[in-house]
Amino acid sequence: MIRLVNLWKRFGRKEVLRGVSLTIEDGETLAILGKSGTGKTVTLKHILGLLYPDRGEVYVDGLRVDRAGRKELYALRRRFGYVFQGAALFDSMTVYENVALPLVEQKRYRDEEIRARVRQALEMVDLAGTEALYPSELSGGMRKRVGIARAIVHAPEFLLYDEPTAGLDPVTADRINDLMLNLKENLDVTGVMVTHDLRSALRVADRLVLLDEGEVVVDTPVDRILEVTHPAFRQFLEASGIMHGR
Amino acid sequence: MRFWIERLGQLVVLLREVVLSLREIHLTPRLTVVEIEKIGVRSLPVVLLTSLFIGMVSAVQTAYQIRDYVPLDYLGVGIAKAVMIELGPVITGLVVAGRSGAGIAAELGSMRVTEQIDALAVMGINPVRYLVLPRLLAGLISLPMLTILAEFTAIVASAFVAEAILRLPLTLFVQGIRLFFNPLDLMGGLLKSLVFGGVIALMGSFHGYYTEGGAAGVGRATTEAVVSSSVLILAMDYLLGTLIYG
Repeated sequence: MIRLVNLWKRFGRKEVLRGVSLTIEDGETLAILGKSGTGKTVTLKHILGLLYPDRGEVYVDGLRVDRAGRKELYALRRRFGYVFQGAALFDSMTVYENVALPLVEQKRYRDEEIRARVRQALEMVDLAGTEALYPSELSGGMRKRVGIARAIVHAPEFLLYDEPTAGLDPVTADRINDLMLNLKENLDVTGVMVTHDLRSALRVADRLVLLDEGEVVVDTPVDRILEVTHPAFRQFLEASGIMHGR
Repeated sequence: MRFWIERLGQLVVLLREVVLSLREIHLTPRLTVVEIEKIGVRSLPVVLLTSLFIGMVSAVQTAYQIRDYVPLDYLGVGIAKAVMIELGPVITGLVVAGRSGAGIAAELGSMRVTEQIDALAVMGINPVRYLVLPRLLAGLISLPMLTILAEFTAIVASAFVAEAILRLPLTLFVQGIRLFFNPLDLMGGLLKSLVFGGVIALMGSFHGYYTEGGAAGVGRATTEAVVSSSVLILAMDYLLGTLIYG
C-alpha cells in the first residue's frame, strides 16, 4: 500500500503541493488527473524518493520513504517500475540493453534468464525482434513501449506511469491503454498513472484523483464520476467529450 | 550570492555521494574503461598535435630569449624543465578540459533533461556510482598518461627544431637534459596532471548532473564546465607549483 500524508512541496516561490494526502491500496490502479503544472509528476516522484517533501510523510508498505536510508531506498525502488513521459531510454544502448539494464545491475540473474525475461517483456509490448535497434531508430509509440518493457522486466509490485499517452496519436494511445490494462490484469500490480488524458484514465484506472493548484479536490471511483460536481472536474469531463457542456 | 551558496552546496553533496559510492567501486571497472577510451584515447590526437606545436615554438622562442646571455647548449634542459613542470600538464589539462570536460557535461546534461538519470535511480542504480565515479576515475587515470605522451612529443619536437633550424646538435640538446634532470620536475608535473584530471571530470560531471532547463540548460552546463575547469586548472597550477617548487 502506498500512503501520502499531507505533502507540501515548494520550488522557489511556487508552492507545488499543498497538503496532498492519498492512499493507494494493493492491486488498485489510481489515476492522478490535473492540468499541466498542478503537481502530478511531483507527487509521483515523491513515492520513489526522487523528490522529498518540505512537510508530510510518504509510506510504501509501512516504510517511511522520506526518512529511508540509501540501502532501503534503493531496495524499495527495485520493487517499482516507472514509465517516463519521454520514455527516458538510454541513447547509447540498444533496445535489448535498455530493457536488460535493471536485471544486469541487480547482479542476481544469469545471462540466459536475463535474455528470457527481456524477450518476454518485449513480447508483452509487441516489440519482439527490435532488440538490436537503438532508441533513435524507434517511433514515439515504440519508445514508450520499450519504456514499459523496461519497467516490467523485473516483475515489479508497483507500476508508476507518467503521462503514458502524452504526445501520441489516438491509435497508438489506445494501444498503450490496452497494454496498461493487460499488465494490470495479468501482472496484478499496484498502479499509479499521472495523466491529463481522461479517456485513458477511465479505461485503465479503478479510481480517479483530480489535483488542482497542488490540492486533491476530487477523489472518486471511476464508476461514479458523473456524480462529481467539482467545476474543474466537470471541465475535464466536458473537454474529453464524456459529458456535454451545460 | 544565494546562487553561489546553492551551487557550492550541490558540489558538496555530489562529492559526498562520490565518496559514499566508493563502496561500490568494484562495480565500475567496465564503465571506467569505456570512459578512459572517451576521455583519454580519443583526446590523444589533439593532445599530441598541440604538444608538437608547443615543443616546436618553445625551441624557437626559448632560443631567442636566451641568446644574449646563455649558451644555446642549455636549450634542451630549459625546454625539458618547462615542459615537464608547466607546459605538459597545463596545456594537456586545458585541451582535455575543452574537449572531454565539455563532452561529459553535455552527455550528463542531456541525460538529466531527458530523465535518464532519474531512470537509473528508479531502477535502484545509484546514478553517481554509475555515471560520475567512472568518469572521475577515468580522468584521474587518463590525464597523467596523456601528459607523459604530450611531454615526450613536445621535447622530441623541440629537439628536432633545435637541430634543423637552430643548428644545435641533438647530442648537445640531450646532454643538457640528462645533466640537469631532476625527478621532482617530472613527478611534480604528473601530480599536477592527476589533480587536473580530477578537476576536469568533476566539473564536467557536476555541471552536467545538475543541468536544468532543456537544451539551453545543456549548452549552459557545457560552457560552465569548460570555463570552471580551465580556471580551476590554472588556480590549482599556482597552488601546486607553490607547494612543490616554492
